[in-house]
Amino acid sequence: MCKPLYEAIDEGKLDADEGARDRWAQLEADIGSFIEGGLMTDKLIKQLKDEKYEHWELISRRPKPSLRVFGRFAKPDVFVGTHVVMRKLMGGMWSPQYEHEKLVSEDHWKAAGLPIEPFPGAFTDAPFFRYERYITENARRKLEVPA
Amino acid sequence: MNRPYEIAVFAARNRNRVYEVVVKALEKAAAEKNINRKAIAKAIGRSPSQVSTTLSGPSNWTLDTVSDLLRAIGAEMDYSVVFDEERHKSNMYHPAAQYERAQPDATIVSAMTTVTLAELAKVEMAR
Repeated sequence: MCKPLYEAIDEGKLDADEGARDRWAQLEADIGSFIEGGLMTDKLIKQLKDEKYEHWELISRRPKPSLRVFGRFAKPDVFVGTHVVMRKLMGGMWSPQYEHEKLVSEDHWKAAGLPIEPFPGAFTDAPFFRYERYITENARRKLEVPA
Repeated sequence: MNRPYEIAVFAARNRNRVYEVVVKALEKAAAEKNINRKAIAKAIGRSPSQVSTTLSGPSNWTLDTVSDLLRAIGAEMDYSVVFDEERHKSNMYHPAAQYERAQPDATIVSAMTTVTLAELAKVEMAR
């Protein structure tokens, strides 16, 4: 975790409102699920388009408000969350706000001393961007329960 | 009285774990019994899109959600309780790990290894 994400959770857990604390608790559990090797699909963590920029978001939908943890993979199975944003503040997928948060994520990533453009020494699966190359165990892009 | 944060994290973590167990059972049923979301939806009186929403994440799941989804594939949960003190601890919690942290000096590495193995043997024998 980068400092902004860590601090947001730390602050959230001290919230006087129980509902707000529960929200942060769910986010911490969702992050913990990734760390512990829990089942991952693109409903829980997904790579954002355009993939070549290597932005990912960890998704924590409920309880409302829906939250997104931005971040990147430093190497396979090592997702570094940079910061967290309320989904409703970002508009559509290609909105200026969404794009802005990707850049903010890059800034946090850089501030943490991690390699940035064009990822020298950092992990990337370009040009394939295979889900299973980023999360190597207990992960698949889609659940294998057909419609 | 307010529910402590750590208790809320534990509840959320528990829900995430149940989600994984149930979803994997659904995947198994899909592979072995050709069950799909439409069939699951029909069995529990919901629409396929509602089932897809349910499967997208665990955070709004209840015990009824678990029961409904498993009933749709002819299964149910089998429960057991594990007390914290009965749960196998990771190395991080092993008594020898405390010793290691307290004695970081490289000159006692061999002694530390002996202690680690002795502690490990004691724990193994106690099982």
